[in-house]
Amino acid sequence: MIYLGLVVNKDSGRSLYLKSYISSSWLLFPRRVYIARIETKMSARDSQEAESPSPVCSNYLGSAEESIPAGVKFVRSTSTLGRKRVVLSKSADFSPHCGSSSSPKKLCRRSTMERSNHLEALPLDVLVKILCKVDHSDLSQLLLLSKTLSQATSIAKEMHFAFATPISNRVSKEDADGHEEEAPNAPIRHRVTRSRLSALSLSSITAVLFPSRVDQ
Amino acid sequence: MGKTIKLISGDGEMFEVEEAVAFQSNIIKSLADEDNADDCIPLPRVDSQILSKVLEFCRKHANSPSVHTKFAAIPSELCPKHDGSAAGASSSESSSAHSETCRACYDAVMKLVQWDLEFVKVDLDLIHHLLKAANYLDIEDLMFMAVEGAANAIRGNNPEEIRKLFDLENDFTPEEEKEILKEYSWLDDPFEP
Repeated sequence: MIYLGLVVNKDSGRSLYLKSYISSSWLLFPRRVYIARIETKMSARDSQEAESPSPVCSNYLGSAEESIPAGVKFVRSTSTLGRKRVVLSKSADFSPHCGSSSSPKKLCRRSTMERSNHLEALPLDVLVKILCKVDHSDLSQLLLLSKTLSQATSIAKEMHFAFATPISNRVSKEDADGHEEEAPNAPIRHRVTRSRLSALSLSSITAVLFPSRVDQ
Repeated sequence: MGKTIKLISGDGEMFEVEEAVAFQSNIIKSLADEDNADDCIPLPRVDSQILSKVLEFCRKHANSPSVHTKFAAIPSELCPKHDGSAAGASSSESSSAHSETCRACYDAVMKLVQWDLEFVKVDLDLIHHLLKAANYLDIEDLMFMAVEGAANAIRGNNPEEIRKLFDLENDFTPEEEKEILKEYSWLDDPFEP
């Protein structure tokens, strides 16, 4: 459980806590983090239009000194677990989770049709979902691609890859380096001893644990 | 039944679809439940080209909602073989028992999965739009498949290709890169040649 404190309004003295929990659905939903979203007056109008994906973009909660009007509403969204406190709306807004200068009261409704950088325009939770489907071996290079990707990769790592077994696809790879089925760095066996057990006598109590890809 | 929902895309085109098709989107479902007087649901963030693609997906999935996300069994009433003749047996235990044994349901699901995989073998632009639409409209199955499509593009490619495909900029300084490499060196498989 991760708790992050957010001071909303110094005057009211309210503090809201972020609570995260691991979703029960193992398939694709990452940890859902319920965050208090501070509604500005403009977003209050939007919430009447559509239920969850009201287009509020990321707001900085940096300055607690600013008096932010009224309501606090719990919506479903994910946040970065890094040092920046960024409140994200779940879906509709596709502007990047910019560390830029958008003030908390301003709604950015940037049209994303001009954007050509696909991944960075996506909301963070969608990006994490995509990265959860990538192989283990791709993770390390994803970390170095760009900052948003690196952030999403580390979240995906914590939430998914820490609990997932890497899929071994080395059986299907071309064995160009000659390691093949042997373990690398294995000690050299000068004298291979033969087993005294015969396969026939063991067949009744053995089972194939890892069928080769050829069979599948 | 016969009840249709009218959807208006961002560029003003109207689509009329059955409830079962439209209600795969949780957003549309909740908006319709709010009892709109004019029975038209505007979707300003989705334009007509994407919406038609989305509805194509939803039409295909109308009989087997949440196939991917919940691994939900096809209810026995909708089984293609029995075709409504399995009357009354609509409790969840019997429907899951049904689909475990029913070959027709299994085949139908497999065909659907194949269709879905073909559906997302499209260029990245379209996948990007599908992702956004699925996110906005909250359609679980479409989200699942669009994510799969996007991951297909990433999997197995080296960094330069990924950068080219997604138009990413390397915004790391060399020092930051070194730091990250150090921090995550455990990720590298020590047995990888």
